[in-house]
Amino acid sequence: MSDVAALALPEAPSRRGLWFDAWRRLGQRRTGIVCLVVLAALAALAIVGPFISPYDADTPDWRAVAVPPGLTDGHWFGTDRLGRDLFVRTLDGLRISLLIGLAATAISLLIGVTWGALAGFVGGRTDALMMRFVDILYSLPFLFFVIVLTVLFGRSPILLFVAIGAVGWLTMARIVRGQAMVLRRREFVEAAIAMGVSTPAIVWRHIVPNALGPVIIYATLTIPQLILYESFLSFLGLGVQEPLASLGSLVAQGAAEMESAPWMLLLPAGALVLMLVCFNFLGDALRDALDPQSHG
Amino acid sequence: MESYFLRRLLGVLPTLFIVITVTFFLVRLAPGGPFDQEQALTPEVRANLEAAYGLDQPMLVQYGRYLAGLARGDFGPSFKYRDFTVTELIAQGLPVSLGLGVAAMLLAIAVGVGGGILAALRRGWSDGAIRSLAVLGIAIPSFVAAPLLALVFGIYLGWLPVGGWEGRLQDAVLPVVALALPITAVLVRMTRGGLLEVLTSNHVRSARARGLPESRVILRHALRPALTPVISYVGPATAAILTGSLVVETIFNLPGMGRYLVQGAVNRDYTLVLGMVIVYATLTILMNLLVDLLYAWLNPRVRMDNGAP
Repeated sequence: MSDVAALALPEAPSRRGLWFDAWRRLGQRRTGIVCLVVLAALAALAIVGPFISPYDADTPDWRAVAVPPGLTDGHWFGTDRLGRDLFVRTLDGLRISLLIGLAATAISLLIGVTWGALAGFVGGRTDALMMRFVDILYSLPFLFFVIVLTVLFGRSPILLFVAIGAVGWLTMARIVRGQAMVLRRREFVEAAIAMGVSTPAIVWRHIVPNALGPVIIYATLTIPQLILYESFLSFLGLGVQEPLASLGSLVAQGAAEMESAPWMLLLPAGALVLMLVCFNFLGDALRDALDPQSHG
Repeated sequence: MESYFLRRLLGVLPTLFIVITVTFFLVRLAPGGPFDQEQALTPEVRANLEAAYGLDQPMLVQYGRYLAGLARGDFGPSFKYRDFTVTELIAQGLPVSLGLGVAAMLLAIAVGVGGGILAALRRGWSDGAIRSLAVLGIAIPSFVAAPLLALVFGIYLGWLPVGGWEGRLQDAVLPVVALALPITAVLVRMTRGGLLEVLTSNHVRSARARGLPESRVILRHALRPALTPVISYVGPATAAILTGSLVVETIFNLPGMGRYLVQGAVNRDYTLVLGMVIVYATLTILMNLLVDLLYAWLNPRVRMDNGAP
């Protein structure tokens, strides 16, 4: 593993190494940096926020049911129909959405990178078969299978992110396969083959680390997509269950009350959109930084 | 061309068969049954119910019967909507969902391609504005856009109805816009990117050098190659619209298929979920096929390949 790390991120980058340049270019893009800061702030808030507020997520405050946002009584985001504090619930939802998004992205990375690197490196009939499988899955409305899975096997958060992660790997597999097919013809890989290094070792030590740039870019764009899936399922009532909150379930509850209490919709929806927009901009900025040739 | 068409058409059947089989066994092998949620049934009643729905038969027999039913267009009875068969529910919901989906797709293509062309040709602030809007459109999910649209245009401005379905045109406006938004945003980006790339290519430069008017250069020489990726995006866009329709139909309380799938999922109405997934999968697969054929027709090189990329 240490070799992988060394190939991926040289500890002391030469003045103009690939990753050094990438960081510098990222630094020059203001939107990218702003989004990184906003995301870090959101994550920090999601972790420490509940401790700042005098209220907790489940205990109803019967003296303040469905009050609008205000600074005086400590209900900064107002409360919901049951008198629960929406500031704490929104931050809880943010944390759960982020966690599920990150965990599901990790799973889809693991499957997608392995699948794509193997298919691209081995090539031939194996490659055709493996990618045909991806094509078939790609042509299906896969969220429907996640719905079926979550319905049938109960609605645990673990199943949720495994199911969502199992959906997200297809594009990753295609990207990595493309990289692997190019890398396979490079001299250092040919040298490794000539030296009799086994296929799994070549894939993990030479193919994967060298395909890391596109993988990072696409992973950044996968996170918001999978957060979206999670919120979508929670919105439909098939994801995170009460008393836990997800941004999706909060938006659903808010949408039901929006005529009399628009803040119940607007605040969680705002948090969700802010997070999604930032991840998307960050992904774009990373693409510009790591892949200077493309101007998407 | 004919052989390509035939090959692709035949390729659809195994995919559909796999989808049906996998969904069927997933649904049947899962713990819990459709009669679990009602008050505890006596064993006799339960046995009678299961016999009535054929659930006491071996799994393979059930599977065979289901396939035989499907071949006749019979999706079986719904477990929860006792008076309806799944086929009837689909027949009720499909036209509404299909109408909404087609309208949303046409709107998205018109606005998305138009906006993309505009953004590519007029660099400057309008380009920047269109691009920013596109990023917002991609990041705002349908289940946020739909209630926001209802709040602004339905409740605050009072221009359009926010729910219910009486078959009027204005009932469909907000749902269609909510469905079309994310796809429009993607199409704007794609069209803009594709057109900008094509505009720097040699054949466009030579067309300009020959002194053709700019409008003709764009329409005749640049647009067609720029739009090929747009055509291939219609497949994934179909899936996105179908998925979005689940949410939009729930929010606007429309009698489409999406609502049945969600309710069926919550109620563990197995036959209903199974039927809905099959219909949705068929729609997506057929749409992808259509897109591929269109693509091959526009792009003769694709036809020469042996199917494998």
